[in-house]
Amino acid sequence: MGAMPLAIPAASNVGTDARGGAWAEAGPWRELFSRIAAGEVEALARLYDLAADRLFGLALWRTGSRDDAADVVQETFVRVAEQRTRLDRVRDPRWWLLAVAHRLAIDHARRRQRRPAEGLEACAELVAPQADQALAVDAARVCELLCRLPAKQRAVIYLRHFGEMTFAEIGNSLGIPLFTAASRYRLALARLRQLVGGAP
Amino acid sequence: MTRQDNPLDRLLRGIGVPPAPPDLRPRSLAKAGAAWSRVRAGDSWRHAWEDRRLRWAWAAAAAVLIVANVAVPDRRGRGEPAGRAGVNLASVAGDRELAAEVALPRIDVRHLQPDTRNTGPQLEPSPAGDSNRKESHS
Repeated sequence: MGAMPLAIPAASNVGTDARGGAWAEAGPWRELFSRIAAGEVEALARLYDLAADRLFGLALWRTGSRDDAADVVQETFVRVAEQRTRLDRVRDPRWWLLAVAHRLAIDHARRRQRRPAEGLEACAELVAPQADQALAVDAARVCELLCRLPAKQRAVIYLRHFGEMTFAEIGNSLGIPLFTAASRYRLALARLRQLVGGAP
Repeated sequence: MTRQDNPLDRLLRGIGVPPAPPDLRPRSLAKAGAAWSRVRAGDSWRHAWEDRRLRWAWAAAAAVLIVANVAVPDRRGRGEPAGRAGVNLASVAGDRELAAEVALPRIDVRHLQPDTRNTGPQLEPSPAGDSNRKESHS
């Protein structure tokens, strides 16, 4: 069976603003999932614009590889298409997408038997959006510190700081209890303080 | 939720993760489109497999069958058929009493009454021989 021709609309600027209000409100996400569940294939493109950056960032932090992160994003949207008939029953599409991407990222990391927390070359990247030399140096420094954390703690930090998520939302996304998410975050902060202070 | 400013907040301020590569969008949507066309919405077998309640029902039925197969004793397999049991018991050489109980009693023709002996099958030649046959013809 040939692939259904998918009309890909031009990328909107919603994705670039995804870390702002578009991510914070669940309403548009539910509407998109409902449209996809109803068979509207064009809604996939809109969903991509909303979610791709966050999914890519989470996968990059979890796998430590741009190629793997790109694969994770692709596979996440394949899952969306495959499970479209059930999407209208998803309580919060943001959690669902992040949970799928997180599981896929773990699978990728296991498959390649990588240990992102152990090597700087496999480190997740951070960038300074503005052309600010001081921020670029900070980014490199933070990246180096974060790479020395366990991957589970790093995922929590990513979702907390770049996902602007509460611990309850993080727990729902990662499939862990709220207190486990908070505990991982607390341990990560403690470890970072040690690293900033010069601990090995 | 209000968050207190911590060292990580200060470090991460103004820093972000890199956006997804631009060429990832057409690749992702093309793959999603291919997957979209693969999945047929009306496939009842797929629904039966993917539905959570039905999967539980499948698993429960399989578990019940396995438990029943293990837990319920197979009486047919343990006991011997009735006809064969007597033969096997009688063949136990060490238990004479049991063998005697099970063995069928034989008919001893020497203890039968004469009338009964004549009507039954002739086990030995009659001493009267031909005279009896003549009487029957007349």
